[in-house]
Amino acid sequence: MAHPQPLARSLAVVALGCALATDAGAEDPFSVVCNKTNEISAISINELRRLFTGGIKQWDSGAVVRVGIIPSDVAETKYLAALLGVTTTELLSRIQQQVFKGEMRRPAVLRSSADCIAFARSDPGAVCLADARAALPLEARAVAVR
Amino acid sequence: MPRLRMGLFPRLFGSFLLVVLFSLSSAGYLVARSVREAGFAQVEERLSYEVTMTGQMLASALFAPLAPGDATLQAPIKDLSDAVHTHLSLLTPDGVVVADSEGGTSARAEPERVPADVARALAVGRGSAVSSERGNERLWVAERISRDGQVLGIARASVPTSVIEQRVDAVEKQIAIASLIALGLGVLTALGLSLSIVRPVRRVADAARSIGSGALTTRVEISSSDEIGDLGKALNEMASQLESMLDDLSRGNADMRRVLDTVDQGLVMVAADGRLSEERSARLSEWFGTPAAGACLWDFLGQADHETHDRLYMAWSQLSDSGLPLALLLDQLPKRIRSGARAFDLDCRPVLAQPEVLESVLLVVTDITQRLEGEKRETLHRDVLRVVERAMSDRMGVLEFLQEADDLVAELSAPTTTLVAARRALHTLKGNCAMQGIASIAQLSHEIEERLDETAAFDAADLSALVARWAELREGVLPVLGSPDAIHLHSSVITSAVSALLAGEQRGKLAERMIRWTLPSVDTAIARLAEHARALAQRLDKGPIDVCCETDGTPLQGERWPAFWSAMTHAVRNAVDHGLEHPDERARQGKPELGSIAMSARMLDDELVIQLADDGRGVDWAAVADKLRRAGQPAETREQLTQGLFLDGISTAQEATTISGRGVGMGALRAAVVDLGGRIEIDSGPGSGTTLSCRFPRTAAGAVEWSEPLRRNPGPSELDNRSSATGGHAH
Repeated sequence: MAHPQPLARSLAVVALGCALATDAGAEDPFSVVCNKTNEISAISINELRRLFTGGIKQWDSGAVVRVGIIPSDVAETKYLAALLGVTTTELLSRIQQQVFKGEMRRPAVLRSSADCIAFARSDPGAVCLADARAALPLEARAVAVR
Repeated sequence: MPRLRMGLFPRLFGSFLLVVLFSLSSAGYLVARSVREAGFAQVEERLSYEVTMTGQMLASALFAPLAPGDATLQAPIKDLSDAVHTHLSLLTPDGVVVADSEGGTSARAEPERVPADVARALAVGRGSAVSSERGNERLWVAERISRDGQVLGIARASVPTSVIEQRVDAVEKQIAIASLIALGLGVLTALGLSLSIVRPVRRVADAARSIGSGALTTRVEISSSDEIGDLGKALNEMASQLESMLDDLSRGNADMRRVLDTVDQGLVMVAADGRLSEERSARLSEWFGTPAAGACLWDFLGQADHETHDRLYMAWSQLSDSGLPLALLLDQLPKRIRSGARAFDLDCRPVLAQPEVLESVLLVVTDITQRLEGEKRETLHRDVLRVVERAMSDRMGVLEFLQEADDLVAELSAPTTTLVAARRALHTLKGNCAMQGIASIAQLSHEIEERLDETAAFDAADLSALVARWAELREGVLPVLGSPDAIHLHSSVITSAVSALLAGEQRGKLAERMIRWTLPSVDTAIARLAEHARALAQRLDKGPIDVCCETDGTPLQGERWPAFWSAMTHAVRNAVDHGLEHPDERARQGKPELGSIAMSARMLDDELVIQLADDGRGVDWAAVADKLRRAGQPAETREQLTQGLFLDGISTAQEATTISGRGVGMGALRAAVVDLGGRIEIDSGPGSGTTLSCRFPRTAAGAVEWSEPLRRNPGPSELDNRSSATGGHAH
């Protein structure tokens, strides 16, 4: 598969930004979800990028970072890639390379937002993207992206 | 093909060297093979580990099976390959390379081109193979990558076999160097071991040779406690025992030597091939000289006598060449030999290796010269006594015998005597001596006759011995008998003559009476023959016989009558020996048990008739005829047969004995009868006995014309009162 051209990638990011900008003021469709024991309140884009590429391996609480991702071209993954400024494919390849290199733990492979919520309530170090409209249990909570 | 002789050292050294070489080569081969196998196995194991780790890492990383064209992992694979120094590649489950550490990917492989390791990994999870790809040979290891039962792809690792080979070669070089060092050490060890064995063995061998050459004090220095040390100890013990045994043997030999030096017999061992042993008693060398080394018995004992040499050689040759029993062959060896003036008895005692297999013979030689001389003197003494004893009763007869024997010995010694005449003289001498009881000369004469039959010639030594023996006897007898011319008269004869003289007997008659005293008569001669016949019958185990004598006292004048009476002894011996049967045979034939012989001597008309008759088996005329024909003589008429009986060599006896049977005596008798002008007649039939009649003209009895008829006068010469002879003259 051919790698996306830098120009196309830039256009995609711009498009995604525009789309997000048009929805400014409105609620985000997906939110970053983590375990209730995780005391982090907000997370930056850069931190999110590092979380999903193995750059951050441990939360401040001491829990080991465990990324959850739906490895297919779904809305959650697209949203995440857009947040991180890459395409879905680039995101997944990056994750695979990092895991292959041993730079990060293998992400938990999820199939839906429900899986994401369940993953977050069960694992103290879990972090994933779930439908923002979904009700979060007590053991999970959403983290704001700065 | 010559056989290669190798010493112990080259054999041991060679053996050790072979063992070392074989061990090193075997070990080298096995190690090299193991190194190669282990090298490949080790590399394969490392590759397996790397593909396993790669697979595990990939399984963690992949969210889905590898797909053609996915170059996501190209860079990580390259980095990983650089880290582990191994060529790595990733393949889709279909065998399409999606990442390769050496760069580039390939298109989907054809199904039939799928490498063996990949095919095996797809089939069973892991596979390895050596195959040539990309221009060089490589060892490939592939492993299937799966997760949750789903095949994600294939991880593959490879190393060029040349790398493995280089490593193996390096190891093999090290092994080769180590082997060379080991070989050197092995050679040195083999050399040391060989020398450690060979040197002590050589010392033992040198000591054994030294002991063998007689140095029994030689000992081996024992420097080890192993088997060779035991061998040395055993050799030392053996040498000590040998030394001890040799001392004992030396003492025994010295004792034996003293015995051999002092024993009066000749003792020597003779090998089966006749060779004498070195050890012998001193007497043998004293008697026969020192034999040469390896000399044979016959050469040693027969060196001075060819006959002894030949007899010994022939008899000894039979021991090994003949298949006859050993005892019989040993019995045929000469038992007596002469060497110069000495006589020796030989006693051969066999030493058998096994029954009937002769190993050697102990020869015992005894000098019997003195014993024989003693026996000879004793025999001569006995003979002299016997003659003297006979002379006490028949002095005239003994004197006649001596005169006759002197004549016979002289005839034998005369160079002009023919063989026939000499044979008759010898035979007559034998008979007369036997009749007089002179056994030594009778036996010697018989032995000479035996040799004469074999050689048909007189041996000068025999004649010398006979003449010497006779001279010795004669010298012993004559001094006792006094002068032959002296007349010994019985006192009764003198008394009778004196009475006649006093009674006035005529002078002529007195002269006649006195002349008769000087003449022998037939009475005496017949009585002597009768006595001889009786003695002969006893000697021949024919029991007592009845001898009847009838004589008329006819005096006999002339020097040739003694020869006749001597010859008559042959007829008497024939009658007793061949004529009279054994008492048992006579009993079977219905004859009286006692054989009968009648002798008579009477003047009938103008003839003096002397008869000898027996009642024995008679002459076997058929046998006489057969012998005459075989001798080429006529045998048709009774006259021819009768005349044939008097031919030399014709006898009806089966074999000659010391008494008779040679066919010589009757010829001598006829010669004596003819010499006196008489004739001889024989009347005989089968089973009815034989009558021998010798008829002489009156003139043969002498020239004396007697004034009155002959009458018998009993005289002292009457020898046997049992005889019926009643006539005779006093002497």
